[in-house]
Amino acid sequence: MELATKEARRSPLGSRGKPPTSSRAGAGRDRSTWIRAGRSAEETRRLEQPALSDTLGAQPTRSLNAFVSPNSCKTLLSAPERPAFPTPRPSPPVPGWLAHDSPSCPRDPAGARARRRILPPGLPRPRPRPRPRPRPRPRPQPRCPHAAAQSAPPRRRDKAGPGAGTYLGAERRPGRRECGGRRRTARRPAHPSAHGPSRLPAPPHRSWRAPAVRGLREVRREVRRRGGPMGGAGARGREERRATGRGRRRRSTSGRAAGSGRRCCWCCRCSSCCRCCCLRVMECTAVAVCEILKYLIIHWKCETGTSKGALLEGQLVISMEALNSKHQANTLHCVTTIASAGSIYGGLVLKKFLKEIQSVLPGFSAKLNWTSEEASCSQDISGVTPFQMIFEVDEKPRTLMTDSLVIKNFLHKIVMVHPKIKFNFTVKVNGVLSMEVFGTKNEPTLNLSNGIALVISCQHYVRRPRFGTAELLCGRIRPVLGPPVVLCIPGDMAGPGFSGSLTLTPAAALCPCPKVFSNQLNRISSVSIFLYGPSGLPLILPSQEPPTTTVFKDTSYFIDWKKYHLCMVPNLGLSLDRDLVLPDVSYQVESSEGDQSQNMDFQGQTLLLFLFVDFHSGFPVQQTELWRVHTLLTTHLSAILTESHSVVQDSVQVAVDQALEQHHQATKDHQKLQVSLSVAVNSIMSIVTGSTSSSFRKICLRALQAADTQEFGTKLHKSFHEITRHRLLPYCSCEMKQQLLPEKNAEQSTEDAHENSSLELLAGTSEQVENKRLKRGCLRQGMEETRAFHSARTRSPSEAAACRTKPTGASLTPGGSRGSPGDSLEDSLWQQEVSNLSEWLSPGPEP
Amino acid sequence: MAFAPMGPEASFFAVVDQHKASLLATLSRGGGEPAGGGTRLASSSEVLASIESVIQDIITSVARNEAPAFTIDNRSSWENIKFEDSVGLQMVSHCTTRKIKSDSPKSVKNFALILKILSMIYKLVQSNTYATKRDIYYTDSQLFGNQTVVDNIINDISCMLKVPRMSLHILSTSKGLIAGNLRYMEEDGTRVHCTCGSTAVAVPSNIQGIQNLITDAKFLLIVEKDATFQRLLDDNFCNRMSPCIMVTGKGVPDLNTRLLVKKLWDTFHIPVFALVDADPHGIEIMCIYKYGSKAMSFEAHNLTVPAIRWLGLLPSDIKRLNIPRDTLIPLTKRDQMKLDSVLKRPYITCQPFWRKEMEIMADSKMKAEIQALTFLSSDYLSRVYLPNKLKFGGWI
Repeated sequence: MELATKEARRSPLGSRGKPPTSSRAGAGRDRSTWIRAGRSAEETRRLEQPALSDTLGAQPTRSLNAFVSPNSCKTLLSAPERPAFPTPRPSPPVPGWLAHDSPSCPRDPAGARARRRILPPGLPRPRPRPRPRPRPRPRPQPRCPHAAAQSAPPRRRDKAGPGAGTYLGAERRPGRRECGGRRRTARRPAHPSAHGPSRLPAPPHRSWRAPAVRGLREVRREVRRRGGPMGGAGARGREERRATGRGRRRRSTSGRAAGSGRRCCWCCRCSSCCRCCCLRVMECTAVAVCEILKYLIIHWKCETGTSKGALLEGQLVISMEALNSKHQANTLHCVTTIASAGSIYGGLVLKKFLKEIQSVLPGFSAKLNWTSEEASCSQDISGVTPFQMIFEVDEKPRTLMTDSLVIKNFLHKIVMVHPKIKFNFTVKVNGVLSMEVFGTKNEPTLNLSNGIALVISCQHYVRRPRFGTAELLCGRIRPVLGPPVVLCIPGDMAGPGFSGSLTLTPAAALCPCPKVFSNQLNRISSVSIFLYGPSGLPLILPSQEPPTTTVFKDTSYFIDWKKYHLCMVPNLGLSLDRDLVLPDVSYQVESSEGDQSQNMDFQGQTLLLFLFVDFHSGFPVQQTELWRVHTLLTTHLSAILTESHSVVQDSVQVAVDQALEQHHQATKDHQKLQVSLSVAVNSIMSIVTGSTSSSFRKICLRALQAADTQEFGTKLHKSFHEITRHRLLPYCSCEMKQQLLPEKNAEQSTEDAHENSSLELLAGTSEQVENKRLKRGCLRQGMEETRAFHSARTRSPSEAAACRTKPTGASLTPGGSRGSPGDSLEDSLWQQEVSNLSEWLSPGPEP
Repeated sequence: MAFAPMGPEASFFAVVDQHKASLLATLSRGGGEPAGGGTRLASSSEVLASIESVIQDIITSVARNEAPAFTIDNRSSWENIKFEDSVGLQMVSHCTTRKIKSDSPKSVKNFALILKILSMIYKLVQSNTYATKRDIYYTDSQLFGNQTVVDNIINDISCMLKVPRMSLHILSTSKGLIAGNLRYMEEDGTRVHCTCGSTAVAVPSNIQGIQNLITDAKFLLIVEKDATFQRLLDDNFCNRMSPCIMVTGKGVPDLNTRLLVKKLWDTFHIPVFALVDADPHGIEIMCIYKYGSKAMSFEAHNLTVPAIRWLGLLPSDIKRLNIPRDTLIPLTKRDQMKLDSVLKRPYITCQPFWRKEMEIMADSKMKAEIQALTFLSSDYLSRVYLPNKLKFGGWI
């Protein structure tokens, strides 16, 4: 459990017991604030009442399950009274030419939607209007997408203002232009577009009714009910066909992906505006989200300057909102939004983005939406430019579930090397909301030279093992870096204009820390390999089986396991639905049946192997270059590693050797301990049984309450084992050092953690010396940590979060300053939140 | 004595006799004799009871769910050692201790080994049998690792139980040799004659078991090195200087050699001289015979002979005898450190002549082995150097 680390457990009250305000939305906006965005005050109160009750423990969450891991924040909102409607997606300001179109959109009470955000006190908060029913379709949907497209009015991109969402991509592909044209005739309402800019774009949210609190299990049940694994495939297929043929007259023009069996092309949802989303994704949502995130992070990295080696710091929001398709049974219409502050994505060129993203997502098209600098100055006092990208997909419920798990694992993998990036990942299925926050900001890290830092908290890699009542105190891994090696790129892969070199740096570590097992049986049970490309981005997506990992199918290709008397076999049974970072490649030790039966409850140790591939050239690396390198690695990593097999093997072996050296030492210690205890007990037994003094023998037997010498021997052995087991609990210098540091703010602590980790890895000897000196403090601290852990577990996540006293949220203000000009606004919003709080606490209608 | 060969005239030993008389006079005044105390020979039942008491404590700790530990005096710390001129180095009564814990990864093995050897001692004492330290090592050589581990643990046990090693029924294989005017009977009744020309006799393993010691020796010469000892035997030194006894510990003396020297002194009160190299290590070996060692300070009363005198090779002799400089060896850094260490020892304060000799060595930065005298003449040591030293009292 990552209670102590996950920012998801943070209190909604935020810093100093004060909830984050809207001007800090990007940094400190917690889940509840996040959800409130886009609602009227009254609606917000009604919606949030159960959530707050849950937070305060008055109404416990029923269950935790499904999309999100149990170690993160989960508050589920649902709308039991009536089916939930699509949530509003924040949109850019409506250009003049579109303004008169929007009210005509039957689903869009534009004015209401435009104001559905947190507004400063004093501003009117109109109630949302009831959602009008869609008009009956006058004629069946034409099956030919081109025919349908021809009937669409021409696009008017040229009229989009600077702040308008740009609509590109589809028209770049011949044959799709028509589809794009048809979107303008779609009867979907226009998105709210008259929002004032905020620091963080509000997530898509269009519920008119207050959803009830639901457990994640219910979310999963909801998904399954909507055609998940339990649904009949035949029925779903019929429904789908029916929907494709008749149900979605205006939106099915693009047909479906060949052989995919599901819709992959979407038309514009609004009638005639190019600001609304359009999308062509030939892959699933997860691939699209992951690739977009990769692109954005690369862009971000290049913008901030890679030469400095500074860690990226900021917050991204990924929101997936799925609603039952009106036109297709057992299908969810999923609107995915990727949002962040514009300051992060300053300089992002949409055309370039679409062009490059289409190299990995053919046919991809999305709407980008951000507020211009001018608009920011006039409307947003914070000066932060929000960024937002929206695309839509029709998916089967089960696919959606898989997608969300894939995205979740992808995000988790990114934060393992980008500890200062925080992801808010929200999935809302028919009004049932679940949210997970991914962030490792205050966790100890190992700084790597290329601007990434590996999180070394054990909890991300293995489940925290327990031995009886003793909780393990050492929660860190100790990665050993292998020497960086230059990878040879086969000539036919590099392509023209490829200048630069790829280097691979392996890092190996045992998890849990070998010291943890000093008095326990040591054995390596599995190997997890994590592949990271330049900028610390995952090279392959979870659950993907691309040719990237072909080279790892041979377990002994890079590591000589025989040397360690280990026999590895590929582990293909890893589940996506887990709280741990999902390895790209996993092996498990093939053990005899006898071993397995003896150690059924013993987790064993996992050898973690991180392979960091980085790109270097003589000049500052350009974004395009990095993107190309990523594409190259994604497709040809196996071939590249094979080409440099010898040097990679040597480097990996060095790292693994050093990591396993600790393991061997721990094994030795364990064996020594066992032998010593056995010798001691046998010697005592020899004296007691050989003694001719009856009084001596009686005293000994009485002391251990043994009837005879045989029982005495058994009890003596057991007692010795118990005593030494508890006494030989290890200590961890890293945690101990951190604990002994004076209390600092979160950033300082992080810096210390970085420094400590680096120093520790550089100077193992000094660490040992330090260990001796600080042993007591560590043990005490470890116990305190354990207690805190237990107490946190007994509390609800929100309660645990409420116990925190220090803010950890990152600021999205340009300078990272917390004292922004919007403080007064924040204060007023805070006052409003407090006033709402009293209403929430009062008994309300049953959900 | 019938076995005594003809030696020099009686007047030759006049100075030696005078020295003996002065030693006896000191003894009669009570100044040189140990005041008793220290470890005493314990009976078998006492040893068994001590071991049972230790085991009982361990079981009590285990029953209380506490990790048992041994508390052992810190033998290797100078803080716990005091110097008495009449005894040498001995442990203070309230010395610091160290714990050998069963719950520490570093000491758990040591804890187990102590118990292992305790159980072996228990059986030896119960059965009234003896075993050498080497025997104990070979019972489980893999577990013990090396002989030094066993030796140290036995010393620790001896110190912990406050009984001499002999009472633990543990012997050590002697490496020392003895020759000269001496006869005795071993514990098993074997009669030993040490006057056999060029052949030396091994120092017995059970010194306490030696009975009927007989000698007419005028002095006892301790020779540091076996090579010098053999050379003196070859040169028939014992017969020429008859009656005398020669002993060598072959370097740093083992316990039996020290016990034998102590026994000879206690039995006969004859002058004891040391012939060592004129280097820091030679001086330290002599100090071990005379004042004891730090590690065995808890048993100093049974091991030290403060009456020992430094006969040679004195650093001042090098200059006096005009020994060629090229036969000398420069002091190494290690020698220098050792010399400094010895100079700081507490017993040096009461040995001003020794200090002076060591300062000469430090000034010249040269050391000399006994073999340096062979550059003057091949038998210079046995024919000239030692006789003159003995005749004219050239000891300090």
